[in-house]
Amino acid sequence: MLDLAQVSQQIASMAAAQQLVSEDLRQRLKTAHAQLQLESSRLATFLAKLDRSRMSWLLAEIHEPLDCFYPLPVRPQAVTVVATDGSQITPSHHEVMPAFLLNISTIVLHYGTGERAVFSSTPTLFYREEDLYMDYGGERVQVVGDLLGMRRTLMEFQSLVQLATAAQDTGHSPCAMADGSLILWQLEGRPPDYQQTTLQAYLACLEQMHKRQIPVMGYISRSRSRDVLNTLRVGLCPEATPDSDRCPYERDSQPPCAAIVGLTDRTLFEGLLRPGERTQVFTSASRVLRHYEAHRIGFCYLHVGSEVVRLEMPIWVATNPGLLDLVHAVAYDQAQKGIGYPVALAEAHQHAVVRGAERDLFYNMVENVLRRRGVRTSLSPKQSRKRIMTV
Amino acid sequence: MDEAAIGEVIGSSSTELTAESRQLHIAPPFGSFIKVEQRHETIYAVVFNASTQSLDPNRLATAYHLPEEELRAEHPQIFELLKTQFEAVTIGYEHAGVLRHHLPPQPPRLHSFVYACHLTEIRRLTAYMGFLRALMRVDRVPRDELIAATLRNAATVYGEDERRFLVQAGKELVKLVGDDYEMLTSILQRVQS
Repeated sequence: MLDLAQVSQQIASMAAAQQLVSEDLRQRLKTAHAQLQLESSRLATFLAKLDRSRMSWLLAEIHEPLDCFYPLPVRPQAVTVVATDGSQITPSHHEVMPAFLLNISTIVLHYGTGERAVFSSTPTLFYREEDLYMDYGGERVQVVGDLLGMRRTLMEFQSLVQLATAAQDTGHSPCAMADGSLILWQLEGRPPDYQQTTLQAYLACLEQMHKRQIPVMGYISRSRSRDVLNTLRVGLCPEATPDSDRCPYERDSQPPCAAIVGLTDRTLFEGLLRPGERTQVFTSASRVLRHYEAHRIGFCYLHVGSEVVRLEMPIWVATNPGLLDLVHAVAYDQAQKGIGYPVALAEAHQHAVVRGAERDLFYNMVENVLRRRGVRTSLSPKQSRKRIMTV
Repeated sequence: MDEAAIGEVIGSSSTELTAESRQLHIAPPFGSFIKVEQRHETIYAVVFNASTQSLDPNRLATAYHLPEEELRAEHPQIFELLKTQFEAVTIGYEHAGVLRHHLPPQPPRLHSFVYACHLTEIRRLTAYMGFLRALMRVDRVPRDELIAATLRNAATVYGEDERRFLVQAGKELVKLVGDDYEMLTSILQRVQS
């Protein structure tokens, strides 16, 4: 039960506080834009300072002046956009069995040819011992939470590669779109055995795309990344060799670099890019990318009309003008067609999602089949109680 | 679905059936005769409604302001998310070689295939005027339109006997809707045009 009357007062207070924050943000943005112009005019000096600095923050690798923007290329008439997504029905110890279901959707949209679109969704039930448990730091652990999420991400990506290569094999010009980042930053700090097996599978996918010269991009809406903004903070630092571990301004109420804290790369470029334009492709310095080798990930920001999005791509796409232009044109076109969000990703999501009622149906089905086969099943008292509330 | 089938039954009752068209936008004509072929019998019906809608009730069709070829080239996903369906009123069935002009004991089975009726089948169905009474049962579309369309479709298979058939139908109509002069004239006008 939610007491809306109580909440409404708190919402009003929150809105008032937000108003103050907006005023403040406008000022910060002005400072950030000014710094950006300044650093763009002295790129060599800026790059040298960044090179010298020792920051614990993530800093984007810059290759051109920050105010260098690229206009929208023309999208080729015939192009095939492929996308995948997935969802899961996870095991809960309140339910009947520890089995889990991964539902992977595939979308193939042919543009310019009039060919029919192809949608599919494929559920896979995992119930074998070897599927439910995995090696993690030398121990056998249950595949739940993040581990399950990563398995799903891998399945989606593998499916994406299959789709793209099949499209190419049938004479189409494919462009693969993934929802979210291509940087597996979640692997950082995990046990080496887990890192290795995951990376191997993921990089094998990128390798295949590379061999086939099929561009792949990660499309991130509402990104909160600050890699580029952080470089401007370094620029603002009065020290010749900025060092976040030895900051002399730490105790100050307002260290110089704090003047632009609270902004993100997205908000920074929102005021600078025109619809259709993109920034240069920066290289990400994310630690996990040291394992990516030839597939290190670059990123740019693109104004798709409704927002500025972050597009990630392997470096071999970024350095190939043909592939880069294709990614740029397709990302923008998709967002236009989808009234703000790429059609392919939206359809992939629609076809993957498993609604609450379907989840219950799934467990009912499992329970019925098991019971018919004489397998003992039991619902936890908590779950039974949740289902039948009485007065 | 075999090549000749025009649809598949997705809903049925004792008096009506609903089928999904094999091809988008192509449903059997209003007032045309169709049949559902099942293992032991064939059920005959007349189409009284056709519609095209989104497959997902949560997604609505919206205007794109583009001609169809451009829609197919630039928004191919739309065509996978629409379906065309049609509804028909049952007028009789055939079992063990005998054609009966009354409702079958069981409704059509779901997922049975629907076909257009041959000329000979239409002649046999309309030899007995009872089908007009079945059409009177439909209240979701204007009855005069439905009866007139069905008669126009049926008349075409009679060739030289077309006039005789329509005169007979007219006599039957007088019995059925004679007390509703406006309905009667409306039907007759629509048949003649």
